[in-house]
Amino acid sequence: VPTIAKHLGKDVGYSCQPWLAIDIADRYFGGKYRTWFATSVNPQLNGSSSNPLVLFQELDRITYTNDFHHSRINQLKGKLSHWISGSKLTSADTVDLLAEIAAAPVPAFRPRLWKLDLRNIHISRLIDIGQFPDEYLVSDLIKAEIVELVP
Amino acid sequence: VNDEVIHAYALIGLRALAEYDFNEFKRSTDLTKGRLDDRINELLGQTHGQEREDLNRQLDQLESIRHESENQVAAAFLRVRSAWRARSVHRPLLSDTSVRLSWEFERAAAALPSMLLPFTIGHRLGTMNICVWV
Repeated sequence: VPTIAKHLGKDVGYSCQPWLAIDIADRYFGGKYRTWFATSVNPQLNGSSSNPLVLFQELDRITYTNDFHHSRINQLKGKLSHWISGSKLTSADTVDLLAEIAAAPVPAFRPRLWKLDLRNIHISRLIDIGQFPDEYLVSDLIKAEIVELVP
Repeated sequence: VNDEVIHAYALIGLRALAEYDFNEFKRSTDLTKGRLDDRINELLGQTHGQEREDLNRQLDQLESIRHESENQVAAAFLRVRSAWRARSVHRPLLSDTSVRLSWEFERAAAALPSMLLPFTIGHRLGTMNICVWV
């Protein structure tokens, strides 16, 4: 079976997700996660916004200190809003979620560090590559394909 | 304001993102720019009166963003144009404007793909125009 692991020559991938993104996916997208990942937990050539370890460290500190004015929080709210806006949800659901994201408190962005088993994910589900050399997208990841390294 | 109007504003914001940061746009959504345009127009068709005018005004601004960031060539010319405007405003303060502009032109030209050259620029500083918009 042609898998992502065979294609990339790596068995695992890593991703950092804010809790709110996971929660929204669970409630509105049937538990399917649109997930950008890297094949290393600390890919040196990726930007900090595409480095799972750097993101985790940053969000962990921000949420621990409840740093409400941190730019990363605003950036994440923007990212989540863009994701929801461009999804297939109805306008009513979209507006509800935009309001929820805008009002979300800092703890809603506490980070989860994921390890993905790429050996069982068909290559056809690798739908995009990113700006940086170690950045890939699967849009329909399910819980069974994820190990939560830091829940 | 109904949900469709708010959704349309959000989509216009997403469309603007596609223009000024395409990588971030790709990270955010699986929609293509064309499909996104279709959805914006679809929602626009459901609005009326002042709301529609306001949305159209936002779209006009989007057109401006799109035009000004059309490609690398445009970006290079924008740098030239910015330099030119700055020179016009500060003209009395600059003693060596021709040197500065010359440097800006060289830098912009270096950023252009060679296959798109030559382009033509009016040389007279007082009436400078960019004649070729690739």
